[in-house]
Parts: sequence; C-alpha cells; structure tokens
Amino acid sequence: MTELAPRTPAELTELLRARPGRVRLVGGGSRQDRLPPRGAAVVVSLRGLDGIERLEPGDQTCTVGPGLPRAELDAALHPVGLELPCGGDGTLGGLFAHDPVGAMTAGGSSPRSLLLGLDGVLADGTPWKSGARVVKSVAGFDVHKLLVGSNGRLFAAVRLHLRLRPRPRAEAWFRLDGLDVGAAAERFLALRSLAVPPRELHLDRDARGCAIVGRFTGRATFVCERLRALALPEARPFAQLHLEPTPGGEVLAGIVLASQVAALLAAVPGRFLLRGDGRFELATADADATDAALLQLPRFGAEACIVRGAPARRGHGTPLDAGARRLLEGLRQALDPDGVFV
Amino acid sequence: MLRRVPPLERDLVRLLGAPRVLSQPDALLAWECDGFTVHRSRPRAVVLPETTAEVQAVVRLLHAARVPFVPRGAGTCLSGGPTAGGETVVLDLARMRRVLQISTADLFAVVQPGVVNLDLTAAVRHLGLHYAPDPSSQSVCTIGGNLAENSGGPHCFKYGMTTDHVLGALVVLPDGELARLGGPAGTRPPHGLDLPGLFCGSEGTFGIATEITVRLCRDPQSVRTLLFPFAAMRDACRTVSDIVGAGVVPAALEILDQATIRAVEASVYRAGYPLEAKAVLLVELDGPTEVTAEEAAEVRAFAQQNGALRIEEATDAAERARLWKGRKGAFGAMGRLATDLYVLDGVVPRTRLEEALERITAIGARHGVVLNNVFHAGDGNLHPNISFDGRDPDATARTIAAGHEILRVCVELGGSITGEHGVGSEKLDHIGMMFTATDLAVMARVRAVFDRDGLCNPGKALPQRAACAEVAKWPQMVARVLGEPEAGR
Amino acid sequence: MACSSEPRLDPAAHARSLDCVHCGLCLPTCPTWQVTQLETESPRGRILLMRALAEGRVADPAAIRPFLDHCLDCRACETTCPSGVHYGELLEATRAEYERCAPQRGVKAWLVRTLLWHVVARQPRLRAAIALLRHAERSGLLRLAARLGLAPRSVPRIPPRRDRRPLPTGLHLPPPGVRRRSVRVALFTGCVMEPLFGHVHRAMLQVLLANGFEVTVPATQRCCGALLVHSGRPDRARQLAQQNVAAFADCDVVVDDAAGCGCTLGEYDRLLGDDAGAQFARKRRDVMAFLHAEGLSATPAECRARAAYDDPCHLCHGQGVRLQPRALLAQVPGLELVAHARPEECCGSAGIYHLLHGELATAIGRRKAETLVAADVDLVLTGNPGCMIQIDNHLRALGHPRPVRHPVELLVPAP
Repeated sequence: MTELAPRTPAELTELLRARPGRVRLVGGGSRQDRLPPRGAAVVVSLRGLDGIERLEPGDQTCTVGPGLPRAELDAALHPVGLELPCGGDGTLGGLFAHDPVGAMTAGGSSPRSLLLGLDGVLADGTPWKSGARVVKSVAGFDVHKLLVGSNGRLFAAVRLHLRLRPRPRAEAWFRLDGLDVGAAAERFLALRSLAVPPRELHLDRDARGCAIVGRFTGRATFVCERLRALALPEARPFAQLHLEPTPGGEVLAGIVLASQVAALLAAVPGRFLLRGDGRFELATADADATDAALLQLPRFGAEACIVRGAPARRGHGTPLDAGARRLLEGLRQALDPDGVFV
Repeated sequence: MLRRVPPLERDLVRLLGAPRVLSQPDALLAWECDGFTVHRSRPRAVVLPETTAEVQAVVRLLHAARVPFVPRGAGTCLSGGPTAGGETVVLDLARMRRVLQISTADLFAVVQPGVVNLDLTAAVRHLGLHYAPDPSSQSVCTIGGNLAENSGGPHCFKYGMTTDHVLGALVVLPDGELARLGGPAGTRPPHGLDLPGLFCGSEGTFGIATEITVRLCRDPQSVRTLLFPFAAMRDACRTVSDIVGAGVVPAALEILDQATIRAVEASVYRAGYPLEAKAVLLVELDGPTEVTAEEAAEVRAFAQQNGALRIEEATDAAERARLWKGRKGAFGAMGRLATDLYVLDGVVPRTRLEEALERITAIGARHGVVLNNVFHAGDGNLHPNISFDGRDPDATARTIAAGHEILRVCVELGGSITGEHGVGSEKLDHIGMMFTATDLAVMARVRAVFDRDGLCNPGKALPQRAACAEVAKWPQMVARVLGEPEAGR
Repeated sequence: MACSSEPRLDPAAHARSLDCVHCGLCLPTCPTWQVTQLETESPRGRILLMRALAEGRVADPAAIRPFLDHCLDCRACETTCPSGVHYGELLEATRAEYERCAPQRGVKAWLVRTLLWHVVARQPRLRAAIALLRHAERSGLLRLAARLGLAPRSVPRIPPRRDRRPLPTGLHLPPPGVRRRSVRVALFTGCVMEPLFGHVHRAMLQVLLANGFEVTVPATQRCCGALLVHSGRPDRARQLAQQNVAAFADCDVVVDDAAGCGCTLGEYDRLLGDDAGAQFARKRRDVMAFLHAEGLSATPAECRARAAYDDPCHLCHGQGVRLQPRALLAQVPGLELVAHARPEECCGSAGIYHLLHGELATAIGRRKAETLVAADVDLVLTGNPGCMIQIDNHLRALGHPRPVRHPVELLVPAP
C-alpha cells in the first residue's frame, strides 16, 4: 500500500484535492492494531507535520503539528515548567484522535478540555478551523471536540492548539497489592472521591488479585502528607497504558461508573485495568468470552468496544443509543460525504 | 376583547393546558429580550413544558408545522441567544427545575434544564459537594442555559468551563426525536464521539436538553480569598502574571477597574472596595489547608512586590461572601451609570492583557464612551462594559463602533470575540473576524446534522448565508431600536 | 379598552424603568415568580411591560393588567437590584395610571374600593364592621359564607369586644419609679390594628412607658392610606396623609408597630411632594428600630420558646429594618431565636392582596409556612398585622398551628 507523508498542511491539502481514493490517516502508526481495517487505497501519515509552531509559557498554551511525538513536546515543556496533563503516547494527533487518557485534575478529567482548537482539512482538501488559541472561547461551535475518538475518520487535523498547565512541584507514586475485588473497588472509590484525588489512579486486576496504583502531585508538603495520612506505601511509577491480548484472546475498552466496578468485576473474568476517569480495558480469553462480556456490561451502566483481536471484530461494542448513533452517522456524512477517510 | 386563537396556539393549549401557553401579544413583551437589550423581538408564543415528553410533544407539533422555536432558561444571556424572532415560539424551561438524581459515590447529578445554577449547589451542599462553574448570574441562570452557552465564571481558571463539567444530556432533537449524548460514566464510549462536547455551547441551535448530567466537585478543605487594591492597573496585571508564572493555580483571579469599583460601591452590592484604587485584584485559593497557606504567602509576596496598596484577606465565609459580593453584582451595578449597558466579552492571551487594556481605553476615549473593565484576569477574558443611553442614536452608534473595534483588537492579539457569553444575535457581524466563510460553512454543516430544517433558534450563533430577514445585522438592529427607517431601504 | 384615555406612564416613571439592565437577579427573590416561574410574574418582566406601556407599545393595556395587579409590592426585588431600580415607585405610578384611565370593574373591585375608602379609612365604621364580623363568626355565618364562596377563607379571627377597644387618646406617663427619658413619643395606631390587634398596641404602649418614654396618642389621626396607594388611589391616600400630618404636627417622634403602615408613612414625602410630608417622613420610626436606637432600660419578661423572626417585607425591604428586631429579641430571657430559610420572602398577605388573588397568595403562604415548619419552632414573630394573619392561617392549614406574635409583645417587662 502507498504511504504518503506530507510535510506541510498545504501539501496535505494538495494531496487530498487530487482525490487519491480512500485514505487512512495515521500518525506514528502505533495504534493501527486497535482499529478495524477499512481497505484504504492510500495511507497518509501526518508524522511529517511535527513542529512546535508556538509555545507561550506565559499564556500556558501552544500550537503543535499532529505528527509531533508526545515525548518531544514533553521535552520542550520541561524547561519552562509546564506539562500537558493527560496520559497517552505516540504522536499528539494520534493521542487525541484515538482515545486519550484523562488526568484527575481540577480542570476536568477529560483530555478534550486541553484541546482548545484546531486547524483541519476536510476530505476534499478544504482547510478550515475551529476553536481558538486562547484558553477560553465560545465563538463558533466546538467542532474540534469531534477529533477526540474520531480515529481519523472525520477530518485531518493539521494544527492543534493545546492548553498547558504548570508542572507540579512534586509527585509520589503509591501501590497497594494483594487486594480482593471488594476491597480494591472500595479503595478506588474512596481515593477517587477525595477533595484532591490522586492525579493518576489505576485499579489493576490480574490472576493474582487486585492492585491499586496511583500518583499524587502538587506541593511537596501536600504530597508527603497525603501518603502518610492515607497510609499508602510509596512505589515505582506505573506506566501501563493498554492491555495486550492473550493468545486467541481480545481486549475491550470501555467506560464504567466507579460505584459499579465491584459488581462488574464479579461478573466478568479476565485481566482488568481501570483508570480514575472511569476508562477501563478488559482482556478476554476468546471471542465468546468477549461477546458474553458485551452482553453483561450494560447491566452495570458500562459501554465498551473491541480494540484488540481479530481485525474484523475491532470496533464492535455495546449498542449505542439510537439517537446518538443517528447523530454519529450524520456527522460522518456531513464532514466526509464521500467516505474518503476510512 | 375576543381574540381569534390560531390553530397552532389551540394545539399547544391542547398539549399543555391554557395556563402554560401564552399567546396574548402584549403579555409576550415580557420575553422580548435577554440581557442584551439592544435586540428586542416579541415571540409568537411562549410555552412552559414540565417534562421531556411535553417538550417532545411541543417540538413535534412545531416541527410538523415548520414553526421555528427557541429554548430559554432564565433569560440572563448577554448575547441575544434566546431572543425570539417574530414567528418563533419560546419553550421557556423555567418550570423544569427538578434535581432528578444525585450520586455521592460517582459524583454526578442529573438535573432538568431549568434548575438554577446556585440551587444545584444548594441541593448538594450538605453532602460537601458543589457544582463548580459559577457565572456571576448563578443565583438565577439555569443549568440548561449554561449548557447551551458553555458558560464560564470566575472559577473557570482552575476548574474549567461548563463543558468540562457536563457528562451527558438527554436531548430532544429539533425534529422531536430523542438522543442520549454521553452519560454519567463519561462523555463518550470508545466507539463513540464526544457529542456532549459538541452540544455544549451550541446556543440552543442543536436541540433542547431536558435531562443534563453534570459532575459534582468535593468542597475544598480550605478557601482563602485575598483582595489587593493597586494604584495602577498595570501593577494588578503584573501580579497576575507573577502568580501564574510561579505555577500557582488560584481558583479565581479577578480584576475590577476604578469605574467598576465606584459603581459597585454605590449599589446594594457594596463590598468595601477602596474607591481610590485604580484596580482591585481578587484572588481565591482553594485546596488543602497547608497548600493554600503556602500559596497565600507567595501570592501576598507578589502583590507586595508589585506595590499593592494594602492586603485584605477573608477569614470566614461571611467575609469571603462580602469580598465576592461586589464582583458578582458588578454587571447589574453598571445600570446606575446610564440607561443601557453593552457588555463585551473579548479574550486575549493573558500576557497581552496590559496592552489590550491600553488599546481598549484609547478606543473608548476616541469614541467618547463611558467604559469600564471587570475581567477574569487568569483567563484573559475581558468584560469591557460600555454604559450608554440607548435613546440617543449618536451615543448608540458610538458604543457599537467602539465595541466593534475592541473585539477587533482582541482578535488581532490572538484572542477571541467571546469567552463565555456566546455569539447569539449580537456577534453575528463579529464572528467573521475569527472564522472564514469556509470555517463557518463547516459549522453550519454540523448544525444541519442536528437541525436539518433550520427550525431550532434560527439566525443565531452563525450568520446565515442569504440575507434572511431574521438575521439581525447591527445597523438594522440599531435602526430598529431607534425607530428609524432601516439603512438601504 | 373602555376608557377615555390610554394608561401612559409619565416620563419620570419611564426614565426610572430604564435603570433596569435586565440582569435578572431579582427573579429568585420574587414570590410570584417563585410560584409561577412566569416572566410576566417577575419584577424584570413587569418592568418590561410597564416600560412598553410607557412607550405606547402595548396594544391592549387591559391584557397585561393582571400581571401588574399580581405583584405583592413586597419590594424584595429592590433589595437585590444592583442597578437600584425603584420598582415600587414604578409599580404604584403604573397602578395609579390604570385606576385613573380604567377603574377596575366588577363586584370585587367595587367592594374593595368602597371598603377601603368608606369603611377601612373611617375608624367608627370599621369598628362597627368588625363587630358585625365577630357576630358572623360566632354564629357560623362567616364559615357558611366562606363555604359558599361569598367571603374569603382567610378572614382573621375577630377578638372579643374588650380586646377591640381603642387605645385611650391623649398623654400617657410612665409609671412611678421608672426613670423618665426626655423623648416624647406619638403613637400611630392605624386602621385594622386597633380592632384586630389591640393587644399589640397595648403592648407597645406598655413597653414604651416601662422604658421611660412619655407617650401621646393623637385623637385626630386617620388610616395611613397604604392600601389606597397600593390599589392605585394615591389621590385619596393624600387626603388621609394630610390629616395625619396635621394630627402629628406637634410631635417630635412618631412610632408605629405595623410595617405596612410605617412604610407608607415614611414615604409621605413622595406621596405629598411637599415639605410637610418630608418633615413627617423624617420623624417617623418603626417601634423596634426606635427602641433599638434608644436602648431598652426595662428587661423583658422571660419567654421560654424556640422562635423564628420573619421579616415583614415593608420592614426589611421597605424600611431596611432587619437587625434591630433580632437584636432586641436577643435580649428576651429564655428566647432561642433560630434562623429559617428565606426570612425576607413575602408571606403572600400584602395588604388586601390575599383577598384579591387568593390562589397566588395561598401558594406563597404555603411556601412560607413550610419553611417555618421545617425550622421546627414553637413561636413565630413578625411585625405586621397582615403577615401575622396570613402566617397563622397557613400554619393551621398545614396542620402545624403555632402562636404568631408581634415582637414588641415580647419586650413587655415582667409585672
């Protein structure tokens, strides 16, 4: 398959105007094994659009290309005492377009809050923009919020305007091991409900039992006091973002209410990784186990879809609300009427 | 006097009963405007549904008859968003004010759209919770209106806008169908899009949210509110830059200029701000006690370095309420200066605040208008307020011209024409400063996904392509207000 | 509309309406908005309507009149208005204009006009009427009439004859042994207070004397005219005001114990528009405000009770008197004063409002009674006759009867 990598937004525009047929947009390509195959004629990688166009430490905002690797942005932010407070790796375009992981910060746990605006290109090569470069703007509809979770199927983003936050002065990881499901769920709920919850929080269930892992950030006095007051043992950083499928197995990604986690864990077997913002991944033994889990999940108010497994099964999930599905299809039709982005 | 009741009104009465359908034209004058009083237009009728089913029934009826409609909360919008055109039916949601569910475990609430912002916090206060976004009109504005406008408020700097606190909504789409966007577990599942994020800030043009799921926040362990008067606006701005630059994230950073201080101090909202100060800076820190204590020391030091005239710190809730009272009543207090008020809502990058204020002052002077500033300094969200006499055509024209130039400056500096008040009908002529025709066309396509027939709050938020009579163009609006023949006719 | 001229506001009133910037902060404080959620039943909406009327944009003034009539004139909106809109003035000017151009028609309106002017404002006739009511009440006729819809259900209980006797006119001196003060106080006794709440008047007199004040009760005083002002007849109210100004001409301080009357007396400057009116307005005081300013010298009798003080609108919003009654009540031995929700929200009585707009008044009254019941008190204190009647009625209706008393009653020293 042809892979093209435009180096400027103008090159991308030109490329799309030439009507190259069905196009799959990718960043660094690290998430392609989580998406269904769509039979694209051309793969267009945005990794060439990798500049930091603007970094305003005083305003705590920046503008970057979608191909910029997260690690490079972090390196640029470090000296000016700032950070992008969300999880996720790979390129920034890929990070936002796939399924970014939130941080439990005061300003909202959804990483979409960090996406202030974007410059995009429609499938027919039309350049457009939405949002703004400043931290606050309600001019125009927030079409840029549609980038999140679009997996490159609505439009191409060529510039992202991001909100930054001061890097915390101190941080401390903690870990509690060997908990049973009930105790782990209860601890998770309690930590999540703190007035200042841990910046990151994970519940990790494997064959040996459950662990709670997390990270407090803030002023040194606060971070130390927290661990002591909550009797949390300090631990090494925890960096696992995603679950790998077992041989023959699949992985579901979804959202669930924290209060339902204990019941959900009792009902579905398998490795389970839950984050503070309610996002989870569940590794199932095989397709049948996945289908059984998908039938169970709605009972717990959870929604999920297959992200790893046989390519044809990826993207299938719990039923969406009929009205919402109608809107999703309508939006795809409106922004990419010819179905160019697959 | 007997009035012939048209069939549509008869059908509405059949759905809701006569007391909840108003169609007597004179009574409808009470709904002729929101807080943007320059644009007045009387609706065709006002209905007051109480349930999702009633909203759906009304919308189906209007959709079938191809009659435009607009949802309305408390009418405190400052951009003409809920002001209805002559053929438009208003769905006044004030009676939908029940809190449907509160979850202390998962920290969310489900509310009807007419629930007043502050009433939601009052309903969860005993649980040690609150709803974070706090527009200055929070004692009257509704969660439905906040959702439609993506409202902000002083505490946005740390806690974000309404969009950061809305998890989901049950929406009656403009054709009467229902859609459930997001939900308590999150705004989107991995195989969906962030529909609540898109819906938030759609200014009542995407449909009518009848059940809204919002995040609740735990009350902070401690709150410290500090007030610093300065002899120069520049000193106040620099203090803000120093605080933010040091990595401190206060809950709120607000500045009032001298004219605002004086108006507030003359009103029932007097808070004891010093009249001789050229600016006062209000800083609120919240969080764990030991953290706010450290931060307060840093903030005090920055203020002193920049020449604060004195330092006032609230030591209890009553004192804090007093320091905030002036800020929250500032907008209304401007009514004392002249008969009309034009509230602007521009945003600039925070580092350009000083420059923006200087240019705004110069614009005000050039147009000879009475102008004062009260603003969310942390966000760079300016509220230049122009007091004018709407009965004086010349004063009105100068006000509008000054407003236009001010917003142009905001955009030039890399900002926005509106930070939290919305485009509504007011900024239809300004939105082109930020977006090209193509940008706006993309937005129009998205809107059409929700409202194919263009019935839901038509003529707002986006300029319509054709010169539709309903599109409120500034010069025409002014002409209407002044009772003069419209330009070019 | 059947009238010779359309109601139009005078330019001054129109100009006042322009102070409103439509911020809406008044809505939650408005009792009629709270029970209807209708923009037309809110101060902001009514201002828009009155403004449109002034600008000649109202096609059928009769159509919007009910909304203006529904206003309780409680002034809660004035307390919360950052722009300082003088809503009460605006409303009273508009009502007067309506009454001038198109007097209310119908039996009820006729009855109100007749009663207000020919009975309420004339003390002997009022006393005779009340005596008649007492008979009707005793014989069960009143209950029958209420059931048949001929009389309102909210008629107060009429006290027996001996409690309806008026205060003796002329000079009263403090009892021997009490240290006298140099202030002589003239009492304003009003219309319905005398026959219905004579015991409050007597308590006020007793408290003033016990605290060392000389008290006079001028014989030629009349009704204050408040109800006439509120129902759009300032012309008739002016006649009463002039007589009152004359009756109290020689007095230094005029004290009253009914918030509604006090508010109108304090606005004689505006009603009369002359120096005599302004002079009168300056020298009148609410009894609680007066006693608070002068300080109590006689300790009130002990009263073991858990009590709520509810602010009469015309005292808190109309006169800005809020802290004084509470401060005085705090000096009552044994009294525990507890806070309840929305003490400054109208109870729905509002002069004769509850007689004219029963449904709204009932909804508002129930809201008030519910908050008082929620506060779990065994005594309710409020300083206005209408409020006392309304709160008493609605506490009964909820099945939680509690004594409702005037705060001055609790200041009477132990015998």
